[in-house]
Amino acid sequence: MNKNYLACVISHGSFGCSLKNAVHKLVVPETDVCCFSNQDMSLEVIEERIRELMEARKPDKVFIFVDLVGGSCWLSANRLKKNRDDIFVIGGVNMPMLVSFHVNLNRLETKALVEKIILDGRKGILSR
Amino acid sequence: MDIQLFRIDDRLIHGQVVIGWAGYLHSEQIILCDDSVAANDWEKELYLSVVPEQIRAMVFSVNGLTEHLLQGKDDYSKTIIVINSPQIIEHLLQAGVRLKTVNVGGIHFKEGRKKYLPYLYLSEDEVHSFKRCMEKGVNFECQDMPATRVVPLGNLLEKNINE
Repeated sequence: MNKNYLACVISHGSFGCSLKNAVHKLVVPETDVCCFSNQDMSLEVIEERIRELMEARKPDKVFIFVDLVGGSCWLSANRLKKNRDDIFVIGGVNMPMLVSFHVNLNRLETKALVEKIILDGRKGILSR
Repeated sequence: MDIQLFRIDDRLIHGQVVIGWAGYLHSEQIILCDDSVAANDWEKELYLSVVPEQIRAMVFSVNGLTEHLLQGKDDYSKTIIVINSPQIIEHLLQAGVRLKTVNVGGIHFKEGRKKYLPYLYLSEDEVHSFKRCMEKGVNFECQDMPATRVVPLGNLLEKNINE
């Protein structure tokens, strides 16, 4: 269903790459997730690198996960999305969300996939 | 002029500003000053959308901020002003705005910039611009977050020349 796609995580510090590696301990990844840290790179450079990836891979759909809604990564992701219906920006990425992304990527249509992974991300937050 | 925090940050309004500094300082207002954001409604809306409801937020062009500061009518003691380059400081000084201390919160990597701190990369033009401002009496303190160490920019630039 979502065969030709690009998935990226943009995060503060090493969070995105560590999250990606941790998720790979739980599931066989359905796709490579490219991770970008805002630690050193300017937002301009991050955006340029993702644009280059989009140009090279020509994906039908792009999923950009960010750690903090309202943070600099969120700003970058929204600039990339601007006026494009094929790019989906998902804020508040966590482990259950990224696991769900890999599990459901080839099972669900894009809209249902985005709804499902947000739901699973939320389901993974609780207290007892 | 008593401005709560005058910050240079190439990311303008983002997490470090709204969660880090505004929370720590109990700021009531954030002013973003950037010509390209001021001229672009989409960008303006994006930046304003990330500011929590309890904080007023405004976007000014460089000339707009200059006029605003020169009028000197407003109280900025609970205001964070954020810009993205030292060249804007030069413009403000040239126009007659007086600034004592400026926080250098982040200028990040891109081609042509050299690393000074993990959050501070500067081009030669930027270094010269900072130096001209320092000659006019502006004190630059590098500090990305309230809990991190303050590094005087003057020392950093001097150290780099000697290395």
